[in-house]
Amino acid sequence: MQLFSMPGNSKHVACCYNVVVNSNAGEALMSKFGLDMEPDSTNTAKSDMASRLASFPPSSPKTAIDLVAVDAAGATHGFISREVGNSRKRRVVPSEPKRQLSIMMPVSKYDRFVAYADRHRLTYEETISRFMDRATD
Amino acid sequence: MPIIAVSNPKGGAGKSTTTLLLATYLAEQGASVCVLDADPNQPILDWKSNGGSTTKLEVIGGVKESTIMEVLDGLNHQFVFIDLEGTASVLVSRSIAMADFVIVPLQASAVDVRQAAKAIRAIRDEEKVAQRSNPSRRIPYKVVMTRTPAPGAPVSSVQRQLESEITAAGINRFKTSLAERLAYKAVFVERLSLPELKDMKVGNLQAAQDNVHDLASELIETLQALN
Repeated sequence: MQLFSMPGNSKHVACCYNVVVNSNAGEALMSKFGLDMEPDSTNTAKSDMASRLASFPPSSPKTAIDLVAVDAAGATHGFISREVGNSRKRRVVPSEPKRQLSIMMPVSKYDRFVAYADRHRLTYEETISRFMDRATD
Repeated sequence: MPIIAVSNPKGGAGKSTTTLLLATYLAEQGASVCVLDADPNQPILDWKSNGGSTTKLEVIGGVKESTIMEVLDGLNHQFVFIDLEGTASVLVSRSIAMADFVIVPLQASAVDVRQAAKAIRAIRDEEKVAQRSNPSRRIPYKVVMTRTPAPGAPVSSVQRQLESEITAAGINRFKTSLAERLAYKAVFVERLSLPELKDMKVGNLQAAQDNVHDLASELIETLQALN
């Protein structure tokens, strides 16, 4: 019995029972008329993703990083400590008369200076003294 | 293996949404995934702790600048996401320095772009710092456009201009953007993953899931290319 004629070949009779198993539901989808059933693309995509994910091993310990350098690099872009409890409460007993120095500077430099002082637990005066001591000229 | 930091110093750029959608998607696909919730508001920890999701995603909260390294060293997952706070902080810069890849969510607004540029400059500088001890160290990144119009909806001139400027600046960008979708808001409201919303009326859920699938696929492809 001719159930489905193929173009250009009137004598051809297609075998009309194409069984496609839906791997999700386990149901058999039967086409009496030789219609092609497209594979479930959702399942294909899922199994593709699962196999791709399998290529990622669990995380391993990282090598140590230079936190001082990392923080300094971040500070140049304004990434400073925002955590409560890091406020400065250091007092310095004056050993000689003092004069005030007021400096206006770009925010990025200000943040960098304050971050350095906070990181090394120095007052601003101590920080400037350290910089001057380290300057070679 | 990859530690993926999600960073933009601008609040509301879509960091937590991007992180949660990608992390829950990968967990649903069978990967072991952990999210470090480094946002002071702890949105993802709240989602996991106070919601009814049955996802196998692990969430660790309370991460601080002094503990981030130790926490990361103790993890053993295939994927670790760090959802960072919307501010420029030492916690953010340290997380970027530890990351294998950085995602920078970005809305089409001038403020988002300027803050994202700050994050990108920090990423590049942290990479240079890391290369002093390990010349082969890289901290690759990609921008992902968030809250974009759904496919078929008009795209604003601001977004078009932004996308062309990102391309002109040589900044890497995910081809897939995360559209503004009711379903993504519902994830946080209902504290459920996307698939778990299937019995609720949350807009076009299938389209939302397809969007995440496309973004996750692109992320995996990018990470595989880095190895």
